[in-house]
Amino acid sequence: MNCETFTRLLDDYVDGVRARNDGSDADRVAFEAHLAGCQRCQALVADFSRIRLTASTLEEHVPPPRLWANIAASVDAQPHRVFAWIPIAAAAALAIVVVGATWVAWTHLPSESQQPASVALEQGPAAPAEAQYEEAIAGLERLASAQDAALDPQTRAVLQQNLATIDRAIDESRAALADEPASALAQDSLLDALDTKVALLQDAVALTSEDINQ
Amino acid sequence: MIRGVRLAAVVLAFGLAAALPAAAQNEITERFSRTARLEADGTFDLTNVYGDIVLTGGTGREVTIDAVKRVQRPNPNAARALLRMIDIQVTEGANRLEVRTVVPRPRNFPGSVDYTITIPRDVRVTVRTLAGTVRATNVSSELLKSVSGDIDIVDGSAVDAVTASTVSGNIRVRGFRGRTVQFGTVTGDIHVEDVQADRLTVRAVNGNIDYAGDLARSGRYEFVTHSGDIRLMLAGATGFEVQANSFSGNVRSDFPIDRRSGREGGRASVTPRGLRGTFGDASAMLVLRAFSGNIVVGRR
Repeated sequence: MNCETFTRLLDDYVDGVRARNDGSDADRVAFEAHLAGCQRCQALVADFSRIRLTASTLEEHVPPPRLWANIAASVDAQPHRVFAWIPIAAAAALAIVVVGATWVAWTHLPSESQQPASVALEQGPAAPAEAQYEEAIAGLERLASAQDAALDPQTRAVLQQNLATIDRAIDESRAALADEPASALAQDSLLDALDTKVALLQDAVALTSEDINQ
Repeated sequence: MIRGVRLAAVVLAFGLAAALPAAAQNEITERFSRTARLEADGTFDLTNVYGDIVLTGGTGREVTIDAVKRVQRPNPNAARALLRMIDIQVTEGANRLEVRTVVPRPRNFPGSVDYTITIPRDVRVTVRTLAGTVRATNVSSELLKSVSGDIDIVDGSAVDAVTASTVSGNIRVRGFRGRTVQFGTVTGDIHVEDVQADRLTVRAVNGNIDYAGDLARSGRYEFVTHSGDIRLMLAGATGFEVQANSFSGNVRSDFPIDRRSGREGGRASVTPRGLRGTFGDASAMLVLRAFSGNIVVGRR
């Protein structure tokens, strides 16, 4: 089976739709088997996961009413042409929104001094992102575990030791966050460690594919 | 059928190899050489499994690949049998060259390949390996990646973005020019010296980060480690805005920090665990983050 076969499953997989009663669980198993050996799909899953993760941390912005009024006026003015470019414009707009949102999220994370303590305490800004990371990590760990035997013992040991190192960093960050829930630095450290773990697990899954040796 | 014979040979060779574990090791080697040509903006892609890789950039258009396959086993016959199973595949495409070490399963293969490669300096290089040191001198790279091994870069460059990363190993960089440059390790130290980049990101989990050199005006520099120290020794007179924080370590700057707000907003502050403010014209941006380590911003 090629990648195109699984394109329809990609969104659901990234969105966490793991099992239904309509037979999609078998699809999921087949997709995960394909995913273990396909760098293209791994990259897609990783990209979609990052976008989903980032999007989940964004505030919801409602476009101003005048924007819709302007769009409606444009549609009325050019009724024959609008349908041709709607899908392109929508895709372009989505792309701009996603890219912009990603950029905004990563470059405007609240810093230590910007974050009012009360806000941090009430909202726990790291919590939604942490949940997304945990979900991604669980999925990657399943994949890595399923393919674990394909790695040589030395490499497996190195990966396990370093995953343990990252886990210690995660634990320390969580403990710090428990002591000082308003600490943006503890939140950043936790997200840094989770991000590193996702990256390492992605590498581990990629290593078990046919790419680096046969 | 061929697969079965091959598998039997592998099992037999491993059996022979394991039969005399305490005996003296016999190293059997075999040399491999190949030349090719790459024009400007060509790509060179190397995938190795075990073994060291040395890449050196030059001014000619020729690529020379010298490799030594190596197997150490007590039984020389087993070593020879295993050596024959190491395959070096070279694929030439349109201004593209791929070199790939292929070893049979099981993957705890007791052999390695050391590469010595000379390459045109303007060819974009990608290297991936499981275990072994990667040393690139005078090379334009896109990706240098090792699981278990050090990465050394001397006088490197990148057309656009470059990532050098290892899981368990140190990264040492002396001289690099690129736009977006990332260095990362989980367990290991990172030493970076004289890098000219629009954006430099250096990350470790359990390791120290050292940076020595000038800052580019409008450059953005991010140094993050969990349990290591961060030490910047800055040369030149480029001004900077700095955000430096450590959860349980100390933060110190040898530069007089202006506590007025920087361009990225926020209230300036100087505490034992945090530093936020500007120096000079604040044209570069420094973000330094350690969880338990110390942070020092000093003069070179």
